[in-house]
Amino acid sequence: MPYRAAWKIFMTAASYVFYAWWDPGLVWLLAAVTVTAQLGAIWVNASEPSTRRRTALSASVGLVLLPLLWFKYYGFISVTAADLFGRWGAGAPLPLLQIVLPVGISFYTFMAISYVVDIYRKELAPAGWLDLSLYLSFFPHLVAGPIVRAGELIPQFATARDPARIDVGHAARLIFRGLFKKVVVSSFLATQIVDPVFADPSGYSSLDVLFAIYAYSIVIYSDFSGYTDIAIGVAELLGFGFPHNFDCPYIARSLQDFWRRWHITLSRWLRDYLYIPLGGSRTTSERVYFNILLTMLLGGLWHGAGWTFMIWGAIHGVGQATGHFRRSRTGRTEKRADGPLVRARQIFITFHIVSFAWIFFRADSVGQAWDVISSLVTNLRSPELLTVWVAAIVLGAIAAQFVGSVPTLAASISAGWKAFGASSPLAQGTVGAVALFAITTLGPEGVAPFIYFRF
Amino acid sequence: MADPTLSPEKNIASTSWLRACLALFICLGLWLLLSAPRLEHSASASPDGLRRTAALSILRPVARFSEAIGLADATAAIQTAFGKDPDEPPGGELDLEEELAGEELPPLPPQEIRPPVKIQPPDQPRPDEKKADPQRSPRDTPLRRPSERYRLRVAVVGDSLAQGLGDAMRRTFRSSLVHVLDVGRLATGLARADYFDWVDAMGKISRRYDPDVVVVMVGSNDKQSVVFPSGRTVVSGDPDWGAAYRQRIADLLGATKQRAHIVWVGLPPVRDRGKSRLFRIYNDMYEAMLQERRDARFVDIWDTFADSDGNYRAYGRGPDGKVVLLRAGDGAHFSVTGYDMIVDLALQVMQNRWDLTRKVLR
Repeated sequence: MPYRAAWKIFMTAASYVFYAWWDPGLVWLLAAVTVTAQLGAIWVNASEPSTRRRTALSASVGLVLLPLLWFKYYGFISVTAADLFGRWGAGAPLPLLQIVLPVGISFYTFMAISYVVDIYRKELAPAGWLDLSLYLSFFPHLVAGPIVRAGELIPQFATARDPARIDVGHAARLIFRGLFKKVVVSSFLATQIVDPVFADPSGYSSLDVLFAIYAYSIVIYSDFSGYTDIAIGVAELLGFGFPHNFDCPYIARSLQDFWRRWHITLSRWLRDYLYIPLGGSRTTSERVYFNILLTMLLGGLWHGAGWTFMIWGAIHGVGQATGHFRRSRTGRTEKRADGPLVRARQIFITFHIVSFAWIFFRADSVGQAWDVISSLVTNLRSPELLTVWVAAIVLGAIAAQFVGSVPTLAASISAGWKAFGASSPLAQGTVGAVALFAITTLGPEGVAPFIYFRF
Repeated sequence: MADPTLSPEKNIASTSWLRACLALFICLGLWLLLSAPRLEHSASASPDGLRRTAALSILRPVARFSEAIGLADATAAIQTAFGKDPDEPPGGELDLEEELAGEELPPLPPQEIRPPVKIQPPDQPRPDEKKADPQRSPRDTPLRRPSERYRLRVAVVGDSLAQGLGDAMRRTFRSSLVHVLDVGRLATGLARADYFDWVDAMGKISRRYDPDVVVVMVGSNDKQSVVFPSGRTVVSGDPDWGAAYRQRIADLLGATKQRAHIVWVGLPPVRDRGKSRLFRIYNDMYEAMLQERRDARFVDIWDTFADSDGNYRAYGRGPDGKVVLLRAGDGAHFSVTGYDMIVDLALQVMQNRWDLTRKVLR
């Protein structure tokens, strides 16, 4: 890469154009977060002793967070305040504004915070303005992650990418897998069973509702991991490595295990920048439970301002705290070698807790979530939406999570992609075109936007 | 390459960027060739403008080449094998058998079978008939009393606003007394029959489903040329556009059966002020056209979702008096509460004008 500075300027400009595609009026926001983070980083880096450094950190993180708080939570706060004051006969204390959430704001704000905190921790030196701009705006991760740390990406800008060695096989595998998950699996299940059932839960049978809940677990996974696969694949084509974001989450044996496999970059962000600063697990047992609960509640709130997301976070928080309590009482560790039946039971229970929590994540209101739950037991009649195809795709998608656990199968899939990567451009292009045609033919008309674009 | 710890499955095989670009070029080129007829079909039905012109100028020659070498026939056969009709309009066709699959269609009382009614737009009066006079002719006849055997049939038609409305209708009515056929279609309208023909779909609904009530909410995508099924096109901005659009409204009403009661839900104010102004004009057209039709009522929802100046507002008081978000983040669609409030307004019409019994409500 002989013209590295020019490449960075070009790539930053291209990323800003990509961002402007959604709303040109909000490009300034990305620029403002970048400038605030960089000024904060310089201030933190120049501050000594530790008390002044801490003050600089708090102020910088607070300023970086301000736009996110405004765009994401103002509506919720103003409506809650209006209701509260309304009970006393008073008018709304804050103007009721409908603020549209800028796409990607949650992701680049968290990345900006990690940059400032890593400098505070002296794990990183302040980057140049261009490097930071490119780090925060780099288009493959800009709109829905993964949440890449500055220490992972900025050093890659500094070292030369080798254009002579592009891992086409692996990148293609990720991109086509991501497209298939989104266009075929997620869109099919969403339109065929999830959307109708969540719109009118009491109008469908208990079995329809049960499979709609299972199907939503697959929809949210296929949708989000599909996007991440494409993002990582595109970054690889440009010669950059992004962190892994999913690792077969529905074979998790506990909620703690689930969070090591689901949205991994958010989990580790919450762990490193929230849970550990709160004291982590190296404190009194009561405080550990509080830390777990608070971390998961805030993790829920990160997804959206609403009671449904708080309940979703609370379920995961209480579940993880309960697991921690059980492990501390029995002294059993998760790494214990259990038999297949015990493992199957653990996976079954964890999957059902996670799926139950997804009801609140998907529902528009707590009342709607309750309707879904009550319809699980009250509508005992023959199913209407549960077709053979729906059941097959749900069960097939769950079974696909276990592919990595079968070494021979995983090895033959890898060998297939290795052969693809080693084949001629004509063969690669032809296979790719047929795969793309198959995906667009199998998928329904009018694919909805990625779910995580809303966060 | 990047840090291998970041992507554990990597380093399977590497190739040069020139070979990678070549593979990508071949992939996209071949895919374009395989998909050109379908893409051309979609592009030709997209809204007028630079994007449509540019897309068609690229896709047309590729699609002709695909046809010339016989590839278009092969891909069409594959699409047919996967249950897709390559010749159907880009917005799809209404397949009522699929919509009703797995459901038991409620029987109709025998006395309800009546001939269809023809409606003409106001600028094309029928010479042999006087205009309907609401003072002299009874515009409203009561809805039949539903029973568990003879459930009321309600069809909800229109664009994505109607989809949300259909969900709200299903939530509102007792399924033991009312069957709701919710067939709203995303991105459709009355203007573009080449994309999705609501008149044709309404005809199918009338023949196969024969609804007691048709709830219409449509128009939010109609700021474009009017294209009739015959191919006649009246471009947006043409002085004849209004007459052409009224003709489409009349055709839709004409495709309903005489016994059907029609609830036409007006368009709401939206965040885009220009569109809001347009929607007021559309609403006037809908309301005027409905004067011609017996048992048809326009439900004006504008004021419920507007501020004191008549403009878009996102928040308002819900049925329980609490401040709630009424509109979706896109500034056009509604929240669940918003749709429920529209159903309440429609119900008022059905109850006050057509004696809809409260027993049908959950």
